[in-house]
Amino acid sequence: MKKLLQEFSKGVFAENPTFRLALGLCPTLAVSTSVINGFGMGVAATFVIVGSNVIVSAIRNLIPGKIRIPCFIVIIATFVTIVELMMKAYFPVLSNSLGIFVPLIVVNCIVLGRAEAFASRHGMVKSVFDGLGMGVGFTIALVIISSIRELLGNGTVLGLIVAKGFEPALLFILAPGALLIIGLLIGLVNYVSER
Amino acid sequence: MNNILKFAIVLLLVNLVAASILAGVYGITRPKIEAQKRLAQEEALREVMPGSIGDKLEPVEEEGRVKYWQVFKAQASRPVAYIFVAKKYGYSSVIESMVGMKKDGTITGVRILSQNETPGLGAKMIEIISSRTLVSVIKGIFSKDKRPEKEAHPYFTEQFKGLNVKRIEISEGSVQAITGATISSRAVVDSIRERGLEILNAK
Repeated sequence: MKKLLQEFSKGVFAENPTFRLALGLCPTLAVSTSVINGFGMGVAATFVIVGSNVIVSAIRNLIPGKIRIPCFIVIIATFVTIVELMMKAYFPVLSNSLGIFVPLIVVNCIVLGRAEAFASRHGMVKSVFDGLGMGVGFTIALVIISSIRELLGNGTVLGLIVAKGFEPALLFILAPGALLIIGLLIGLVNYVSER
Repeated sequence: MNNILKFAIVLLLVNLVAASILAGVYGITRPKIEAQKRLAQEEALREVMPGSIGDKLEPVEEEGRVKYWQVFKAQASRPVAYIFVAKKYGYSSVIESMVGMKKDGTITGVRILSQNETPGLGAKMIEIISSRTLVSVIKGIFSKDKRPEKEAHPYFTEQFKGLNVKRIEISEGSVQAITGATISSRAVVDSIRERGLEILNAK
């Protein structure tokens, strides 16, 4: 049990995909303009990571090594399409605002990275915890980045105005602001962890 | 040779399973997705032409595509209003809007259907200014007064209501441009005027 919790917590802290591994930065830049978008993307990605980890780990001994990557990609793409269809059917507003970035989870390197580096070498239960940890770590990172960007760039949190008379700095909603925020946060995480 | 055959069979099986799962999910979600699309379209129609529920909508086609819709009141033989989609390239994307127009050219409503303008500038054309602040929401949790918030519309497209397509332009007294997004604002106004005049003159 302790081992399993370790697999979970390493994705959140020691190997946080965004802050420590710097993986999946492209979707992070694109969707972290508002907290709702960031959270929705995080949950969708978590579902895909956990799902693909389970299947990859279940069939890891049946797949010949030479063709494992195409098989992983088919599995990941299947889960992404399920998420996309579900979102369109039940959360049309979220699906509209995330747009092209939901189908692009297929090429999110966190997902393939976990399938290749972890799930293809470990058992199913461990892979579930690894996937959950990575997904939660990614979601937490997205929520932190997007709440800073939404607050500074739009003057709102979860779409609610924080203070009347605050003139938001547009820079933070645009891509350069995202790079600044992510860079500063990675710096902060490194500074804290080195002490 | 043996290996290649084995690889092919494994890939085939993986794809076969994936495809059948997706077919199942698609079958389950398709009616729901279509219902959502219909809902969105109905909502757009209601917004651009308040009071049009129950009226007959008749598409006018040209070269096999719907050009615009004519709105008929019950038993009338001539249309009383039109609903059309106007589009034009703005600053970074094609801006598409749905417009309701009476037969004299008065605009009853405008709704932006799709745009991909700069966030924070041109994209403000779909922004709804919330009157709720964080403080007021927190206060609201503790107070007994629970009045529902009245339905809000984007302030930019609200300006078009009651104006005539023949005379809309970016100016004071007509349509005010969004600060810092004159090109996007102008694209919306121009596309609606051009398309509206085209339909009025076609009669």
